[in-house]
Amino acid sequence: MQEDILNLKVYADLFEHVEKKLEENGQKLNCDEKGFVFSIGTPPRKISYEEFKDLDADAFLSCAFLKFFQRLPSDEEKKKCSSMTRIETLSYLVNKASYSIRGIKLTDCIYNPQPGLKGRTVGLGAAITSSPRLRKIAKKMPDGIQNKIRGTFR
Amino acid sequence: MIKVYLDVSMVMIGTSFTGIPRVLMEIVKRLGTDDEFDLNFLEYNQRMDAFRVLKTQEFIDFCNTKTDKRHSIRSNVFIPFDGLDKDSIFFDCDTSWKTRTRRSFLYPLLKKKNVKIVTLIYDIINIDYPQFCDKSDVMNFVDYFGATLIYADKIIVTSKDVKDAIILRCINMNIESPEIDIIPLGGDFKKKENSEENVQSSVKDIVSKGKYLLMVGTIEPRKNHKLLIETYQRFLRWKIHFVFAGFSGQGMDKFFAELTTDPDYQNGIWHVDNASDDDIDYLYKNAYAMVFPSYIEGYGLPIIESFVREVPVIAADTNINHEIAGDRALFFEQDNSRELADIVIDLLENESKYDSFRERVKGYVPKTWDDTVTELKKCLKGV
Repeated sequence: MQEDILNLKVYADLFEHVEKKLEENGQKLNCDEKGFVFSIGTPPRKISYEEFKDLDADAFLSCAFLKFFQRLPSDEEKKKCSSMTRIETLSYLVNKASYSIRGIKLTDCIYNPQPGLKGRTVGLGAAITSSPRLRKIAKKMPDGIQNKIRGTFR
Repeated sequence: MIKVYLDVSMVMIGTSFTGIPRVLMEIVKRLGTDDEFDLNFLEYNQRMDAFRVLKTQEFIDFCNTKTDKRHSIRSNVFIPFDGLDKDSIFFDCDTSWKTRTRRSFLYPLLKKKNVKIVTLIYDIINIDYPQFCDKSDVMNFVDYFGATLIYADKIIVTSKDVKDAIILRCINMNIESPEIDIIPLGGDFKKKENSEENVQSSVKDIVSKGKYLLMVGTIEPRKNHKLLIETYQRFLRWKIHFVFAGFSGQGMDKFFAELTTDPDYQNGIWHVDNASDDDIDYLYKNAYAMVFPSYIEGYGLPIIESFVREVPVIAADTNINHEIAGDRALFFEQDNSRELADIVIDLLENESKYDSFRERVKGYVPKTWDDTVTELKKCLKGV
């Protein structure tokens, strides 16, 4: 237990160092420290809701994005989720294409949210089109089109 | 035989094999054929939520040929994350912070199974210079780097500068650093014969227009391409051309707006996107000099690549550039376009000075990949 706490301190210290560096350069990390620390040790697919359900709204959102998608929420996503209840936020996240693409299994969650048709369809589309060869072609497209494609599968 | 596992998940889905994937491939080509090591290549498989074992010889062949038949490399054998053999080595040298299998999850499992962990850290730019990086990448790197500091039996770095940065971080966090070995990278990349025949005509056209300064590398904020535009616009217009060769990275909209609206764009200042190895080779060989204004680099391979082709280098005055280039390069103060321009103008006006500058890189022999892997073998045996 003591070792676990010391280990988590390493991650927290690194987080604070990075946050400070960004602030010195007039930038913000846009991630809650507690949310990040609670994302440490997340397995690739089976994610327990129990582990982060008690976090406050900001920390919960940072943590959920990192756990599910290994990325931070965009400003737009943050804004969207700010007026949502916890169940609505979970449902929103579960319906994202990358939730289906990544085959996430959320466990220990009484709400048991499931991806809707849109999430599953885009997820299936991504699985079919994700060969390195097709991605190589996509990378040669103009930035605007590449961003549109990325946005669809996020 | 020493059993070594390598997670090559990112190479298995990658679309280009420069930078870190290229380093991994050079290592695999040599370590994979060594009788003292039993290499096992792994890729994360989502359906099984485990590592898929790749066919060893087929993966080594792929590193040699890069022909895109990666599906034939995959076997139907899977290993659970905690199923790696006791006393084996897990050698992490890919862009592992981008993989699904977070190191803060994987490394503790490996430690419990007495698997030794050796991590090759190319740089800690995400930690010390996060302002130049994508913020999600930074978070993933903090996870990976934190796990490395806690669980790795050994860290390998490619320069003293990176070793110093890691040690400083550990001192500031009041933790003990894992043992760190410095193993510089090789610079003897295999050259294709008749490569000139494959060079795009547009690239040949640029070269034929006159003397140019070359900058090679992804167009991204930390590379500081904006300094070169400023130097060109303020001091060097009509004196020498500029060529930027490299993929377009993110966060460079302002740079590209400035570049493409310059009246000399495509006629004095060029960006060569999607350049092939042959194009890059041709651009290097014909460059007046390579300019390297980066704020921070893990290694600065373009410096070595220039020297190998006997092309002189003018670089920003940073620790890593000094470490890699030694006294072969000319240095200018970071972000000082006036000083960079003065160096270039001085060389253009004094042919003998330029000749002696060129002389410094004549006959340069880089460290070879064989040397790199020989040191790596020693390091792995000593874990």
